[in-house]
Amino acid sequence: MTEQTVLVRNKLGIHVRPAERIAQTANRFLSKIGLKNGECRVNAKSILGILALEAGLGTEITIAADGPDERDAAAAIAALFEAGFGEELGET
Amino acid sequence: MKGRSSAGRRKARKGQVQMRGLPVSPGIAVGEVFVLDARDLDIEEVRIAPEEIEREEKRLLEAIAETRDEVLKIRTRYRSIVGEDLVRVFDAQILLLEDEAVLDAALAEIREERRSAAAAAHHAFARAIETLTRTENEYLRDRAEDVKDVRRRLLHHLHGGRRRSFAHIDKNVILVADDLTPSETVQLPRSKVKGFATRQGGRTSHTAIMARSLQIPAVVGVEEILEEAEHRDRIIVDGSEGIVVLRPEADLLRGARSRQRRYMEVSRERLRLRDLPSVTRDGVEIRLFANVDVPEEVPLAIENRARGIGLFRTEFLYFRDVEIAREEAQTTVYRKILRRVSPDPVVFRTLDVGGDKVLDPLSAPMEPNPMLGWRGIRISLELRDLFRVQVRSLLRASTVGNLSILLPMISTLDEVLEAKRLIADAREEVRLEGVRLPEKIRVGAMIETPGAVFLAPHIAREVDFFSIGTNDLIQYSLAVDRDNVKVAHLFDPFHPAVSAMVKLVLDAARDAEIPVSICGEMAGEPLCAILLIGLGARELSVHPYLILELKRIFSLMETGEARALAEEALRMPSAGRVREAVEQFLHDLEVRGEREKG
Repeated sequence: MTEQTVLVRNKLGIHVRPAERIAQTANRFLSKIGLKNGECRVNAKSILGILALEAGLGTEITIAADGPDERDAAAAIAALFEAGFGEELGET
Repeated sequence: MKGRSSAGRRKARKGQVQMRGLPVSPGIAVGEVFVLDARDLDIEEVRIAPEEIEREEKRLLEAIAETRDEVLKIRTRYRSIVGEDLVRVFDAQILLLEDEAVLDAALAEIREERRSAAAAAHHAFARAIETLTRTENEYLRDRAEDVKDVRRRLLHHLHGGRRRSFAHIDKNVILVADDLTPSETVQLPRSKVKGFATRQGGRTSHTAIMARSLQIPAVVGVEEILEEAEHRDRIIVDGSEGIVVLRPEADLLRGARSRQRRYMEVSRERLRLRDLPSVTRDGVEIRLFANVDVPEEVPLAIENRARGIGLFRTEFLYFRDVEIAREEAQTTVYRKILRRVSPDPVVFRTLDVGGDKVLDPLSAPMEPNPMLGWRGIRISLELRDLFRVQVRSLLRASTVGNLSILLPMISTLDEVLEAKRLIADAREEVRLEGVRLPEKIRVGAMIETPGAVFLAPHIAREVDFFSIGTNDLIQYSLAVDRDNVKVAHLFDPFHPAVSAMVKLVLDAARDAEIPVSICGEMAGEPLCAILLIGLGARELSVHPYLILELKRIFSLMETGEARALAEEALRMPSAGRVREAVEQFLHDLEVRGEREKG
């Protein structure tokens, strides 16, 4: 199990497009990948799950990947958050 | 049909229900309900046998794959029209469809709850929709609609892609549905359907357009209609008032029948006006043209003796048939319309999407201010291939009739010049291909932004005619979105600023000696039409079914009186005062008319 904590940096938070990119990326890996926002845990391969996180700017999210490619998976998803999904960044 | 007995039971429990919607086609219909959609596609809550589990799982996966193919196909077609960027939203739809969490939940429902594939999918998506609607985020709440859309598509596939078929209609019915798809519109057994009531839809939905062209009453946007209506229920559809009554009690039914008779008498009376000229009492001709959204409305325009088509909104062709992006298909449609209307003129407005009409509804939320955004001529000047194909098609069709080209949403002179240059290029291309074009093809500008109003004297020198789009002009000059219930009451055609702007445009056109037609809804509203004539308008383009009533009113009034009224209105401080003055004016006309008749 690989865990990594990231911050939502894009101004609009995790709306449909970022969710779409997370799910697309997660689906490329074999590992099970979860996202956690406090008590809320969701499947990172599910766009609807991700939307249910209701993660706005500045939210702390924990990525938990478990499986054969868990390190790469967590890193790939963390990189998306880090880059703010290519959107305008807000102040956190 | 297995639903029938349960419907009968339910009917016995339920009494009269009255609902409101949007009146889109006038008249009153009384008859028996034919439900095209069962409630959210007939989800049967029966437990499946253990040996059926595997089969249902397989059905679900197959239906997902079919739906995915369908969405991909739509994506590919739209891409050829609007480009890669806008179709990315379909990717989101596909992701929603293949969503692992939803799929797992649905499969678990089949296996553990022993639900059918349809019921399992319905429930799993329902939870997702609920999650989205619960959020604080407005944008996400709107996305719930996308999920519903995906679910609807999927459930259609789980039902073998069928809704209740029209083949069952063997007597006169009133159709109740979520909405009609374009293909259903085409297959509709027209002689059997006497009215429509649908849950979805606005004035330009397929149902509304179809109803108006068939001249049958219709009310759309009746939110609870699918929950309340049962197959074979008695129903009253009042397309003039926007009221639908299910299982009406006896006295209401009698009332509706007598109103229906009266309406038909009045309609027959109006028909007699058909062949009378459209002139005022003092003999000034007011040329009445027809606004047309789809080719099916053309016969109605001809029947009502329109002087031609003053506004053909080409975008609806694009909405319902993506093949139209091809030049051949488009040329064929335009040619057919021109032949039909010839020798009278047809003014084709080039693609006017954006704002409240988007080619791909899912892309709508991407602009923070769509009405102030990428729309009308702005799209055509950027997506040049799209515009080029449309103009080439129009030009190629122009050989068989009297065609004009109208440019929508002009706000600068440069847009006019650029569009004209592109039209000239296309003309040269088509000519070199050996098509013998008419010497002159008129190009006009829509005046619907305050900017264009004040530039009208300059624009008038560059175009052959003006068309005033009052809907947008009012919206932009009063800064009111008429679809926003919080402010819709401020959308008022009687606002003195609107009259002042219309007058500026009419004056500019008169000085430049070009004609102006007024084509917004204001033109078809009798009170507003009186005001417009007073301001100097002599050409109106309205929905074909309004022509007869306008003729009747014009025959009662003199242009001098109307001018005096308009001059007074221009000096008034508020819309309310103007409205009162025009109402009084019409009242006096009617009284005078009655007196002279009697």
